[in-house]
Amino acid sequence: MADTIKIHPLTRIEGHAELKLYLTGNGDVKNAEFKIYGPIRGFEVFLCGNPGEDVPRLATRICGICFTPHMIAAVKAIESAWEVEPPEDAVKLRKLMLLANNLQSHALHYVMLAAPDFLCSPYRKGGLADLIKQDKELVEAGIVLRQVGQRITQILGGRAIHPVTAIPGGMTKSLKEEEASEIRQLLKNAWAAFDVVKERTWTIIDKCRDMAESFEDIKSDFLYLEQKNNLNFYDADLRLMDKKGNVAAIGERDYESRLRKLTLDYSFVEQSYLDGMDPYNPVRVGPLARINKASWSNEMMKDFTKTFGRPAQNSFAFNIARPIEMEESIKGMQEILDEGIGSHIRDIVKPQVGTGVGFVEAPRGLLYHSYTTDWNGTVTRATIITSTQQNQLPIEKSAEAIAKKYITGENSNVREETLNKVEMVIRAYDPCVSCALRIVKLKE
Amino acid sequence: MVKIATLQLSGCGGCHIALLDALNNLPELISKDILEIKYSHMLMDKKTLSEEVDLLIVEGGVSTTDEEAMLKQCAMFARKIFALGACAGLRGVLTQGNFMLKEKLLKEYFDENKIPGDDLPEHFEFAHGIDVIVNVDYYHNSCPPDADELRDDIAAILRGKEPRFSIKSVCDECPRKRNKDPEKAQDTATMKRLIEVIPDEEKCFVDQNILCLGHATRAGCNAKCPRAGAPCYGCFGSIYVGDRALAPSDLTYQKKLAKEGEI
Repeated sequence: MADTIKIHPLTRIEGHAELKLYLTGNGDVKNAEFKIYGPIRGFEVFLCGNPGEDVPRLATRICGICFTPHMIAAVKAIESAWEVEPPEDAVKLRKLMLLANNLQSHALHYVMLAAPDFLCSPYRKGGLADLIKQDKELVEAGIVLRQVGQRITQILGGRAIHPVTAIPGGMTKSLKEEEASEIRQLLKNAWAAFDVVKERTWTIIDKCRDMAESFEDIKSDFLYLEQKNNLNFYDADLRLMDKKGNVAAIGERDYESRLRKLTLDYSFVEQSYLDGMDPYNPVRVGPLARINKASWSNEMMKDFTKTFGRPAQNSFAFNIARPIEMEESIKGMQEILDEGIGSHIRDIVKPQVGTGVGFVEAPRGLLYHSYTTDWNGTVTRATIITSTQQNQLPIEKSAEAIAKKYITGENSNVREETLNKVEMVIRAYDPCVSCALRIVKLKE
Repeated sequence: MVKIATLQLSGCGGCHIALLDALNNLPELISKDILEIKYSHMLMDKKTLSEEVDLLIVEGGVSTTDEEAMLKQCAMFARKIFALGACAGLRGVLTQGNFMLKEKLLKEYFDENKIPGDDLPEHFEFAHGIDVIVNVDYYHNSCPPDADELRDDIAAILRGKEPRFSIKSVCDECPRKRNKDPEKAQDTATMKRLIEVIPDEEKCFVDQNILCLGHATRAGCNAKCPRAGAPCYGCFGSIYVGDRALAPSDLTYQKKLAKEGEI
């Protein structure tokens, strides 16, 4: 009997990764390795030497799905290094862009990548194509939601992918009246499409509960920006919640000084952790981390809490946190528009020597950029911690937990459908390999 | 029915997103059996491509041995190969990593003696465009690909035609007004950074002494960045041809243009 099982490559995720399961002599799962073998592109190295104002638009290239958070986190970090406060109107535009990107990314994952697991049976390996044959209306709704997110990004960021408008001191493009009314119209379309998605969520929540009840998932701490009544991905406070639900505040600079790394010999990605905590103690980020203490008034929240409890610990709860956040994103964008956005979007700024940190919430979780610049504003050190980098070990442990349940010596003839169950738990985290391939370059 | 496959190599996933943006009628195409996706690890569960396809769409450059193997495996089954995006065609942002030797890059990344992996693929000294490994039939050198342009390109390819490449520059599509007065031509010594000025929204950046690469960059994006208040930074690649080649990828592309009598 083989002593390992490889799932290679993991599918319906961004980038290339593999899960390797080690088996005991009688065929039970001993442990799992989540192996990220995608290429190192070297962002932290080549961002050094670039002028600070160019970093936000270069940093977008880290990820083709969550480009906006990378741009905004980078610009926040540069502004913090130069001790600059962007004008209020620019902040509103940035918040709007983050929510638009969240809507786009969640619509992609929830409808196109994850939903086939819950709505298509029997399992036919066709993913999105299967779902189109099964439920075309849902896919079309997902496409509308994605288009709304992309179009708003294009209006505010200049381009639908890899936007360019964030610059230290503000934004380069203001929101004109006719563009604001176009966004209002887009949000109306989004509500109509979201109704379709919401209707399917009642089915998916049942399937997720069945999966969640079938195995014992890990329990972890959660790291997130505090979510109060509204979705705030831009300037909320950093929080760490332990397994029992106790919340502690962490200062942004405190996070930076406590940052440590763990190099794993089977993965190109270095796991980051905080000094004073066990590196192998799982700390999760993402929609699940954000939702646990959020006080959004949302119809689906009741069912979420009833199904998964609070704090929800099972990874399948990630899947249901996404449609909830999609609804909150649309609501949040509407609120920002209703407040009104003025035209004072930029100030002239002066570079200085300094180190700055920028935190935002990306669709997949907490994102941290930190840069040191010289007198001329040239970057001399760059550190980027992405959500998948933080979620790496939790993903591995969750996959191990579910594999132990479904792959046993008694059931040695492992079928693809069973392996897909293991992949489902990995997919729930929505890992992004391009983002994850970062180093933890510590401050000397 | 047209059978396609998509492959992601050293890229950010953005080209797949652009592809989804471009194919906004995908449910229609698939449910009416006009298009069939045979392999795409981001959208479906097939682990490898093992049957013939009409078009293989490749995103990203090649920077590890594993990616080379994946690309070769997929190319065996592909009648035509489409290099989508700047990384696959021109190496794009990967070029920036190429300025540094691999050894140094990896040492910057990992503590010495702690570089992971016997079991992990090896990185090449430099990241390549995919045409170094396989023969490429069509290019779409842009970052990010414009959804409308990409839709036209794919439609053309599927009809058996060559996609159009603009050989104009971004300036040709830019609405900003150029200062025609040669007396007032820009002075490079007084070049300004974008953080130092709030430029006029209607005037050319270069006339305002701000560096903009529009004049040297291939058009096709409809000058999106200058329209949004940001100078062009050349992501569609160079319009220079002839002996001004920048990369092997460019050479192949130029030969194609020369064959079509466009230059």
